[in-house]
Order: sequence, then C-alpha cells, then structure tokens
Amino acid sequence: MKDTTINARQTGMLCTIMILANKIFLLPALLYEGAKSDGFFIMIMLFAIELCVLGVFFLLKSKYPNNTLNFILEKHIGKFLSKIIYIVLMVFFLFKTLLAYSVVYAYLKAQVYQEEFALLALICIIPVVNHAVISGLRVFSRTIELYFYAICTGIFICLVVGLINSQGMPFFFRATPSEFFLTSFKHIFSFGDFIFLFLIIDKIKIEKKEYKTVFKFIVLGIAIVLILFYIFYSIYQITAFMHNSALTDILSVSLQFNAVGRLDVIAMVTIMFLSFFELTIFAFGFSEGFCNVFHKLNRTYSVVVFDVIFMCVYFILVGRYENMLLYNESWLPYLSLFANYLIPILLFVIAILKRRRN
Amino acid sequence: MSFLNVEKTLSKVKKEFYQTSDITSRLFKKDGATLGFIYLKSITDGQLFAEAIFKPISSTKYSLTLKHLQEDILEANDITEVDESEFVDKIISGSVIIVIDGEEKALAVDLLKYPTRTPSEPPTSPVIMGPREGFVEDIKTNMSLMRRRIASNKLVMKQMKIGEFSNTKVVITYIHGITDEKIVKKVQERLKEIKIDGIIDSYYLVGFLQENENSVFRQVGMAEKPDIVASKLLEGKVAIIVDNSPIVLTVPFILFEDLQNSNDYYTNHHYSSFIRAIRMIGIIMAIVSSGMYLALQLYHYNVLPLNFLITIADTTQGLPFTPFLEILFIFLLFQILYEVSLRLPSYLGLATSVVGALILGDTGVKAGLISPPGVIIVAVSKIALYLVPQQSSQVTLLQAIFVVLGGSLGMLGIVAGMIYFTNYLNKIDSYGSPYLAPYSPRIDNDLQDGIFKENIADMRLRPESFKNKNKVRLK
Amino acid sequence: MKNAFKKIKHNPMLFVFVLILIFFTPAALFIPGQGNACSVITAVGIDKQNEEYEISLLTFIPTPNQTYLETNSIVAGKGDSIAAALLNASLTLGRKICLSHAKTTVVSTSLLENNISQDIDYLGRVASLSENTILICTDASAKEFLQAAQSLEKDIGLKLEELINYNVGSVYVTDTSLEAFFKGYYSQTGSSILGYLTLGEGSSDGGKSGEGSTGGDGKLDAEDEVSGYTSSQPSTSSGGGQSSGGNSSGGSQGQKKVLNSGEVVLIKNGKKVAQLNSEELHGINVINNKAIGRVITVSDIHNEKYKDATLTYKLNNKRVNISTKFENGHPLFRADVILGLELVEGKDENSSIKTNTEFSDIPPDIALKIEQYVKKSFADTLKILRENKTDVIGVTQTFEMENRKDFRKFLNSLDDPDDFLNFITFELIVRVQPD
Repeated sequence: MKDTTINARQTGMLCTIMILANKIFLLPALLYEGAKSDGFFIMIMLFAIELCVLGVFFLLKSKYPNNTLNFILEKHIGKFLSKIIYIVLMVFFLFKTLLAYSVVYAYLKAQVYQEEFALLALICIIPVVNHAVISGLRVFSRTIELYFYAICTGIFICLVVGLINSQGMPFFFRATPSEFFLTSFKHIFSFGDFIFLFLIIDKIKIEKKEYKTVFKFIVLGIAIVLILFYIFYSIYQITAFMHNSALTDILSVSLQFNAVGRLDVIAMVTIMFLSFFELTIFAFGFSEGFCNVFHKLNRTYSVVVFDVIFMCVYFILVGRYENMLLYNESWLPYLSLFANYLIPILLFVIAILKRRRN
Repeated sequence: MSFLNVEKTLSKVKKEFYQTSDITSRLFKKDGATLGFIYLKSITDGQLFAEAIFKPISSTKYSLTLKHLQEDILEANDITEVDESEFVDKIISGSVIIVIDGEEKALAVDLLKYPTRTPSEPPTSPVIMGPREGFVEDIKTNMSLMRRRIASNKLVMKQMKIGEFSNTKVVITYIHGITDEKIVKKVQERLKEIKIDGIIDSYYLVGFLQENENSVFRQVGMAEKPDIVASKLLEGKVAIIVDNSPIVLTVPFILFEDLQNSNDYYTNHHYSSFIRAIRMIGIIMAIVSSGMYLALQLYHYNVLPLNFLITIADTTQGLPFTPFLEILFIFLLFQILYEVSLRLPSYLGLATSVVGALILGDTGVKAGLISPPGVIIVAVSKIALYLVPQQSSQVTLLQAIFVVLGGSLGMLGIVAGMIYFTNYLNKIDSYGSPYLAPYSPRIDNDLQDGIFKENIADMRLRPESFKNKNKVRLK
Repeated sequence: MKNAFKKIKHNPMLFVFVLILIFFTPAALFIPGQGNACSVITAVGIDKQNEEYEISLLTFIPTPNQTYLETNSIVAGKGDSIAAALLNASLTLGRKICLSHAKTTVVSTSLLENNISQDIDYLGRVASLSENTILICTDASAKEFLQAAQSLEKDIGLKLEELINYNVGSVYVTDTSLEAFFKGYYSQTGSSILGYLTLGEGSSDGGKSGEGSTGGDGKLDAEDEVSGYTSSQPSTSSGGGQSSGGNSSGGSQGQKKVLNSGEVVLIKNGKKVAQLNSEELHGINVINNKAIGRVITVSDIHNEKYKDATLTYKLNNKRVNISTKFENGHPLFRADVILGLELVEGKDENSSIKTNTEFSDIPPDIALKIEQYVKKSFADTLKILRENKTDVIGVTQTFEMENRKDFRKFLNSLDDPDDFLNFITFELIVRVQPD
C-alpha cells in the first residue's frame, strides 16, 4: 500500500495554513465592529483555547500513535455515535469551506475581477481542489510545503509595509465584557483549526520529539495573525470596521502604495494561494468524514458528493457572502461549540481513560 | 548429434538471410579439409578478415580442425564456438562464421566494424571549463568512456538486447554497493517486458521506464556526457546505455536535476548558486510571464502601476488584434521561427533569425500589428526557456497552457494552474524518489546541492532523494 | 470518440481544460485590453449645485505615441448622486470608469458647508478607490481646479498628485487622505484636516514667479508681534517653479492657475469650521514630530556680538514628548519640544559672522526669542482650535491612552463635552539647541 503519511513539518505547515484561514481577511473588521480593538484580545483568548485542543491532540496521538480516529471512537462510544460525530464534522467542514469560499469570492469580486465571476471562480477552484483531495493528504501537503515560504513571504511583506505605516498603538479596553464575550462567541466558527488533525491522526507520522516542530509552525501562524490584527487596528483605529480585507488594506493605505506600484498585487496572489490550500484542507476534512461514514465508497465519491452539496448549499442557501456571515453569527457558533470543543473534550476523556487503564 | 556439411550449411544460412546482397560466403579447401566462411560484408572488417583469418589459414602447417583453428591458427581476439542455431545472431552482430566440414560446431570470429565518430563536445551541454567529451553512437565507445571515469570493479554493466528486428544492445550500468538493488531489478524487469520491433534511439525506452507513462513531464534523466552520468552513478542512480544513441538515460530522476548543469560543478559554488537562482527565476518567468501579462491586461489592469498601464494602453491602442489574439499571434510566430531555425542549415538559420527579429518584430510593431510590450513579454519567456534546454519541450507546452489559463480565467486561473501542476508533479514518484525533491518534500540534506549549492568539501552525504545503500560520499 | 473518452477518464483535468477552451477561451479571445476599454481616472473633482452633483474626471486617454506620455482630458457628468453622476460621465466617455488609479479627489469648499461625509459616502464604499487617495478642497469649482491642474502638468510637467504629495510630505505634514478624513470624522471629536489649494488668475510669465501671495510667508516682517520673527517652509524661499508661497503655474495669460499657499481647512463633523494659513498650520505642527525643514528668521538682533543682525535657522530635527495628567481633577496637556536648529543664513552690519564655528552656536537671547516665537505660534493656533472645538492635534487620543478614566469623567462633567479643549491646560516647553 502506498505510503500516505505526512511528517511533522508538513503537519505544522497545514496547521499554519488553517490558522490563517478565515482570519486575515474579514475577521479583523468583524471583531472590531463587535468589540473594537479588543478583538485583538478575543484572538488571544480563542487561540489559547485552540492550543488546549492541540494539547488534547498530542495526548491522543501519544496514546494511540497508529490508530485511526474511527477506531478510537468506535472502541469507546460505539459505531452509531462515532458516525454521528463524523457527520457533524462533515457539516462543520462543509460550512468552513462555504465561509472561506464566500469571503474569498467577495474579496476577489471587489478587488480583483470587479464584476461577478461565479462560473469562472468555480471552474478555477473546484477542479483543482477536487484533484488535490483525490491525490491525497501527502500530495497536497507537499504542495503546501513548496509554496509555504512564498505565502509567508507575501504576508511578511504586507506586515512590514503595514508596520511602517502604523500609527501608534490601537485603543484597547474599550469594549464592555458582554460585547467582548458575545463577539467571541459569534465568531468561534472561524476557529476550530486543529479539529482537522484529529481526522488525520493516523496519517501523521510524528515522534514525540517532533511535537516541537509542529508547535513552531503553530506559533508562527498565531504570531502572523496577532501581528496582523495589531497592525490593522493601529493603522485604521476607528475606521477598522470599514475595511473588509485586512491583508490588502494594510497595504493600500501605505505611502508606498501607488508610489512604487500597486503593492496589493502581493496580497492578492498570497490570498489566492492561501485560499486554494484552505479550501483543499476543508474539503479533505469533509471527504475524510465521508469515507469514514460510508466505508464502502472511495474518495472520488466523497469528492463528487462534496461538490454537489457545496454547490447546492452555496447557490440555494448562501448566494451572497453576507448570508454566510449571517449564519456565521447565528447558528454556526453552536455547531462550532460541538465540533470545536465538545469533541476534543470527549477525546480528552478517552485519552485519560487509556492512561488509567495502562 | 549431427555433423556439418559446409555447402549445405552455407546455402541454408543464405536462405535464412533471404539472399540479401551483403551476405557473403566463401569455400576454402586445403589438404583435404573444406572450410566455409559466411558473413555480412557491410558490417565486417574486410582487412581484418584477410589478416586475422584468411592469411593464417592459408599459411598454416596445422591441420584445419576446429581445435587448431581456435587455439593455434586464427589471430583474432574474440573467437567462440557456436551451434548452427546461433549462426544468424552471430552474423548480424558482425561475426564471421567458419564452418568446418565434418565438425559438430562452427567458429564465430567477431570482426564487427561500424562507422563510428570520435567523442566530441555535445551541442546541448557545452561547458566553459570542464571535460568536453560526449557520448557517441557506438555503445562500446560509450562503455569505455564510463569505465575510464569509474575505474572500479564495482561498476557493473549488464547487457541485454531489445527489439525484435533491431536487436539493440542495451547496457544497464550501476555501481555495486551504492545503488539500491531494487531499482536495478525494477529497471531490468521493465526492460525485459518490452516487446517492440526496434529501438532506434534511447528515447524509445523513456516511455517504458517512466512510472507515469502518459505524463507531460519526463521522468527519466538524459545525459550526453560521461562526466554527468558518472556523477549520477555515484549518487546511486542507474544508467541505461543504448547502442546507436549518444544519449544515456538515468533513473531515478527528479525535476531539479535539469536545473543543475555540469558547469555548476566546475566553478565556484557561490557563483553556481547565483546562476541556479537566476535559472529558477528564468524558468518560472518562462512558464507564467506571457499568461500573467495577458491576465493583467484583460482582467486586472487595476493592479498595474499607472505608468505601466499608460505604456501598455498607449502601445496597444489601435491595434487590430485583441490582447489574447496578439499574444497567440506572437507566440505562434516565435514558435515557427524556432522550428525553422532548428531545421535550416546554420548559415540559413542565421538569416532566419535576422529576418525573424528585424522584420517580424520591428516591422510588426511599426506597422501597428503587434505591440512592443507584447513582443518583449513573449520574447523574454521564449528566451528564458533555454536557460534549461532539457526542459524546453515541457516548458513550451506549459507556456501555452498558462497563456490559455491567463487569457481565459485571469490570475486565479494561473494560480489554479500552478497548484494543479504542483499537485500533479507531487504525485509522481520516480523509482521511490519524490519528483519535486528536495523542496517538496523538503529534504534538508539535499538542499546542499539545491538552488544554493555548497562547497564540494561540505557535501559529505549522498542525496537522500534517491534510495541508495551507502550514504557517505566523503569521509 | 471512444479514445477521447478513455483519455478523459484517465485524466479528468483534461476535460476541465477542454471546458475552459470551449466556454471561456472563445469569449476571451475577443475581449479588448482593459487599459483601452476602461477609462483610467487619475483625479476626481466633486461639485454640488442646487442639490445636483457634478463629477469632473481627469481621464487618461490612450494615444498611440512613441513617447508614452499621459494624455489627459476632463470629462464631467451630473446627477442626483455621485454614483449617478459617475454613470453619466461614463456614458459621455462611452467606457467603463476605472477609479483604481485615482490618486486625488478634489471638492469645492461649497460642499464643505454641509456634512461632506454624506457627499463622499460613495468614495468610501467603492472598493476600487484606494484608501490613500488624497482628499483636498479648493475655493473654486473642482472642475476648474482640474482644468488648471491639467495645464499645470502641460506647462511645467508637474502632476497634481506630485504637488499634493509634496504638500502632504513637507507642507501639511498631515495625512489628508480619504481614510484620514473618515478616521477624523468617526473619531470622538469628529475633527479632521483637509488640504486647501486656491485658484488664481494666470500671469504672463508662465507661472514661474516665486513671489509671496498669502499670509506673509517667505518674507521678513520685523513688525511681527514677537519682535519680528517669521517662519516659512523651505520651498517658499526657493522661488523655484513649484509649490508654496504663491508659487504658481498655469497656462497662458488669463487662465486660472493653481496657487499653493500651504493652507488647510479644519473640518468638524464633516463641515468646514475654519481655514488655517501656513503660519497657523505651523502652530499645529509645533508638536508634530515629523514637521521639520521649516526656516525661522530672527531679525533685529542687537547684542555684544551682532549689530542689527538677521539670522535664519533651519529646523533640522525635532523631538516631541507629549504627556497628559490630571492635577486636582484638572487635565493638563504637556508637550516638551526640543528643536535642533542650524544657522543657514546670516546678515550683520558689522560683518561679524565669518567663521563656521559661529554657526553652531545659538546665543541664549536668540534661543529665547525663538522659544517665544514657537510658543506664540502654538498659542495662536490653539486659540483657533478652541474656538472651533476641533481637536486635530491628538489631545483626545493622548488622554484616552494615558488617563482614560479621568478623561471620561472630565468630559462627563462638562456641559458641552465638545468644548473640552477650552478646559484643558496646555503647557508647551520649548528648548532650542544647535544641530
């Protein structure tokens, strides 16, 4: 059988891409709208929780180094419940893909194509994502590995230009506690980055001493997001809510912008690459769930089913990205609560139980 | 057990060659013994035949028996006893068959003589400072060139013949103790499975050796110089030398090998790193620049700096072609010019380039048919292509694909294309070596000979991208 | 056909590529280049008359030429809203309008009589217009202004955005972009600054004069309140072809020309409340770290060394340390300014200024005069700011950062929180040292 495992570095890079997903375009503006510059602290708080989830993953991996999530779940909670969990995760990743796609589509429509280009976007994105998912985790992880530093360089340039043009510190501590926590809850769907790791737990070939490598990449991802939030809030301050694409907008306000050429092309290309990888990871998450629910069907079926559901939901339910944002703030947080937090807690309990038995 | 009758045997062999005009036979009688000679005069050395066979036989005092002929009389190096069933094979490989009346077996004396050329510098891999010898069409010469570079008993050369009609000699070469035997075995099995009428050039084998047969991307290394092949053998690869071809194939193969040039190893490693980086940028430019220009012009003019936009808009105003048609037109022109200059004799080729550059480029712009930025972009991408000549055919195809993607779908199409092709290449596994190594996946050890090359004194280990038995190259 | 299907089954991406070739490529083959199909706008002018907007667009017209010069034309459109006016302008042009390269937006001061944020709402929303687009106002109509700007470029090769960028970097030393305007507008005080350029009648010398035309800039004035000190920006004394001090340009005689006198207008809640001349602008910039390069001339110097001397110093560097505190519930805004000055010109009846070493020395009496002058300059401007209840010097911001609770309590204690500047004590400490 062909080796489909990924190494620690590739795992780390996947984590960084997931951390960046859905957080560096629209989220800074949305958090500002709800909690002013304290959105920065919301990020810190939610990242801290995410790191706990990562801890659960490492614990589970050390207890079950070669077992699949399906095996672990079936062993402890039975077939039926484990299938339910997989179905929830499928829905979770489907909507993650929808959110990422809607936001990126809205950005590209406004800044890059400047007109509707739905069919064009679909024919660019869907086949490539499908091909990557069918090719497997190892293949697209290697692709991410090739472009990873290019993406980081793109973001780094944006951050440096932003930093040069930032104006002092943002005004912190202006949101009330209720604003702070309500906004945090509304946007937890943008998190849940490490759930994907549980799905591919058996495909990650990692020694205990290599946890550090994964952690380094995660710190890099978190640092990028936090620095971007800080720079974005310090540049825009009061008008942060008006700017829907943080990564591009920290460039477009700069003095260098237009003077040395349109710098946003850097952000534009970076966002495109990043989006492809995000969507691939989310679609793979769905596919992995599907393959575990329907054992007899292979990955190609999962991709076809994903495409059909994705397009139906997108064109019938979502349509515009504003609708997706509405879901994001209304019922998706509850789904998130289940997928992001309850499942890791369950897995934590399972890992603890194994320790006791030992 | 049957004894040979010379006349009958000769006529039988002649029949087996369908009375071809270059089959020659001769009867020789002396002291009651009858000898028959049969050979193909087109591939046999006539002078050697006279001196090594005919002259000793006619002047010998020994009786003309098989034993005496083999041990005392004939003055040739390669003499073997052969059965009647082997006659045809031996004759077509340049041997003279000596049939002795009443003997069970005959003698085959190898007097093969092909027209061969002396090793010279191949046109596609010239070096500024370094060995200039290149492979020739003769397999023996090529084998000796390899032996000269790796003078070790561990250099193994295993010969086989492929092709029902061509009976082409193919030699699998590797270094025992370095190369992974599994790769050698896999290569042998693949070659044995080939049931083809003829192998005219080594490229015929490429399709059979590739893991992904229909791929646009070549997965077998091709080298024209023995120094390159020797260095690849030392990395643990297997070389396949094919008779009648000056190109030697090597497996496993990774894409990055084509970005390495033998010049890089015969010059300062800092300079090599710089040149490799340029090569890398050049090849990326060659692939995407035309498509990207088109995408910017058709869909993303807003990201062009104003001054660029002014230049492009001024120069393209009033052109009869739309940007897409213009680029396709220039693209086609350059490709035609390239093909023409390749086929024409060199003195005419020069004239064609002048006509191409001056008339088509300059006059085309002046006539308002094409725009200067369009010509520059396509020209740059076409010139950059030849930074890595081994990849030119694949990159040309990719250029065309990216022009279509950029023109039809814009920047998103180009990014989608880049990711698709990277995924596609990452799927390719050439004899256990990841095709995009050492960058995808990143193999730290092999980065020493990556874009940034290290000093040879620091390269202590063999590349890990290829499976090999012995990791240490420098103790 | 069977083979084709086999191939597609083997490689589905081939099918996708064929789809692209069939559905996208034929259409794309005939799309004209957007540089030619769209009108690239480099500046936008907005006027309003009788509730009707008139948009003037400085439009780049692609012209086949070998020098690749930017050929511009002005196209106008009217409508009930800016979007409608733009659409009408687009109809006139017969092309789509591309605002992504617009670097300047000009509004006439008549718009500033009402809340301008309502008028330029469209510009804030349209994604293609970049955030750093400069927003300036003019006394004339925006259309006339763009016409004058067009001739400015024609005559002396100076583009409007170059002139404004120079102003933003060296004269205003304050961001006057659309983003800066909105930032000020949405801030607690609703105050912002906009650059201001005037139009004047053309002269026969083709706009090369460097004479001072406004606000006493660039000329010595011994009658000044603080014993004859004036200051000016470096450009005003240059007398060259561009920029402030009435430096003008324009076309033939009679045509209106752009006059750059380094003025700004103060905006409060989207409306113009005051206009600051360059001298008053310097007052604001006293506590602005980046505002260097100006020259300060001290005349009528009589001491042991000089007799009736006039010395000109150039401000080479500046260090500003701002702090706020509450003393007995009363807010105190303190700015500690250290000016690094270099003597660049000296005139003396005794011709005592001879050696270079003297240039690095600033005698205490002169230092005192400079300090007094700077303080007065700041005080004068602060008076205007207080009168107009506009905080454009970051007082609120600093208090919010350093003493938020006390400051909010202080604001709540005021009958009119908007008038808070009048209840804050400002302390300016100026120190002068040779650079």
